[in-house]
Amino acid sequence: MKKLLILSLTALSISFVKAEEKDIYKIDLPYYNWQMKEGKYKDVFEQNCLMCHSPGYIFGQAKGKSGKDMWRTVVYQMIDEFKAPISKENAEKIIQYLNENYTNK
Amino acid sequence: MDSRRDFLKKSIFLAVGGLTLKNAFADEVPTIDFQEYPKTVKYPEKTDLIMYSDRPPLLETPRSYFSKAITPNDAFFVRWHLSNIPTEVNLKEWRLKITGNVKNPVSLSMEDLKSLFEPVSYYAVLQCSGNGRSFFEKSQTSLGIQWKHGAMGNALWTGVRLSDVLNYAGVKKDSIEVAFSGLDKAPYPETPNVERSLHIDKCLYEDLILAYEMNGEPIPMLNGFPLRLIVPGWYATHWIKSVTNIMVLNQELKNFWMETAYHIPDNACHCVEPGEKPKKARMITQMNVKSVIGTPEDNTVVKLGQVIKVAGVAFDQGYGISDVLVSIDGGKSWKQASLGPDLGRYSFREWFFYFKPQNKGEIKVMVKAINKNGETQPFEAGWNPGGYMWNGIDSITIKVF
Ligand code: HEC
Repeated sequence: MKKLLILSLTALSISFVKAEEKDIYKIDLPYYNWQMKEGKYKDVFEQNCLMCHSPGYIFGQAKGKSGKDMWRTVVYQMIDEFKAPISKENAEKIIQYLNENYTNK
Repeated sequence: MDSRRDFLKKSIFLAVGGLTLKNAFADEVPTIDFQEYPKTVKYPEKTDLIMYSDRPPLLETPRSYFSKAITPNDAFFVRWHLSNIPTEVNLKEWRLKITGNVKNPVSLSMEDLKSLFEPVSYYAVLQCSGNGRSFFEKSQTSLGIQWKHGAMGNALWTGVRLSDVLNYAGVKKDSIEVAFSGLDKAPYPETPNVERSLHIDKCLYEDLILAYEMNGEPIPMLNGFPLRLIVPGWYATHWIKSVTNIMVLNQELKNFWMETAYHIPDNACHCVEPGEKPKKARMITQMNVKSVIGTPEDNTVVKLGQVIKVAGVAFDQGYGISDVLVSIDGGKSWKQASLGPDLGRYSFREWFFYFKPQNKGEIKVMVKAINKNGETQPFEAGWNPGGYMWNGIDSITIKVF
């Protein structure tokens, strides 16, 4: 755990590293700490929706007029098309969390 | 790639363990909340860009770069689908494989590519299918990254003809498609990896290239180092990054990326009523005619009497730009803008327009491009569920005091 943390900290450097050998090209990516809104079932969201991509995808989706069932469409797209391993029960909780915190009528 | 894997392992571990990334990273990692999203940040080999996601990196070019025909590599937008992206490539080991329905399957090093085939170069616009998606949000937010103007750029691409490479391997007669895939992978094994195909005729008889240089430099890691498929005139979804596998096929490639993703309504406007699903859909292909204002900034304040230069870029799917028109009266009348040098039919074309406001108050400056096929930009692009192909007329406001 400690080792992992140190490694991920080095990932913060934003310099372009060209290793001694000129055939090796390498970069280190920065990461960010996304602050999700507090709300019921935030924990279920965090346990199920962070594996494949950052919450940036959710923030972006929450800016304009949401339309009907936007989050239901999104969550089931994750399950059906990208094979996210999420139970139906958890899917409903996540939809509720997103509807309550990231929707514009 | 190691630190990246560890990060992913760790985030999965935390997610499964019910901890939040926030708790573990609170002190070490910069924070982003909803209010300051999207945030302008700096990535390796990149200047300040607008960041929509860090995993995978999704970075937009600020609008001000679009007053010039060539987009610098360090300002060029970044777009990946799947978060396990290449961050390290050893060119000693890297190979491009051409397999499938060919007479001689081959594996080529970068040196082979550069020595066996004639190098070719041209300027071409790379634009994400969803560039401008956020402008659909007035009717209804389309699903996907809410790009504004800058999920596009224009560069000089240098590489080898795709047809030369295919012929080197010897395409068999019954071939119908060519499939491409790169070094990016899904972090979850069940998620379909990005693999896309193009019709064999497009690959053999059109001007596609496999580029190893962008504006005279190696392609930046985040833009698909070391080799990228260039499909001029077509949206970026076809321009596979960090290509390593080319497979010639005698049947259609069927997967999520070919059958479901990047589909547009199959009608003249490629649109449906907001919220509706298209009855019939097809793969997105060619871009449409479009222009963007690069300068001045939106809401610029000027003194009465001052001359204003409006400048930007225009492009289309490859017919070339014939006219760019500017309106300073909210679209009632249009005047011809001057065009910059012609860098080829797939390139951005610079345009500029000078005027002197006659009154105090707000001026809405609008611009529309017309291509050599007579196509012009609409005031608003028609809505579609994926938020693709936005080419509504761009505008800025100038305040005169
Ligand atoms: C198994 C991997 C995986 C998991 C788990 C996952 N997603 Fe996704 N998600 C994806 C992929 C792949 C994309 C498409 C990425 C791209 O093209 O940039 C995506 C895209 C999105 C988008 C953009 C809109 C769209 O429809 O493309 C949103 C919003 C989103 N995910 C939300 C979620 C939410 C909410 C959860 C939790 C319920 C979740 N994701 C869990 C893989 C996943």
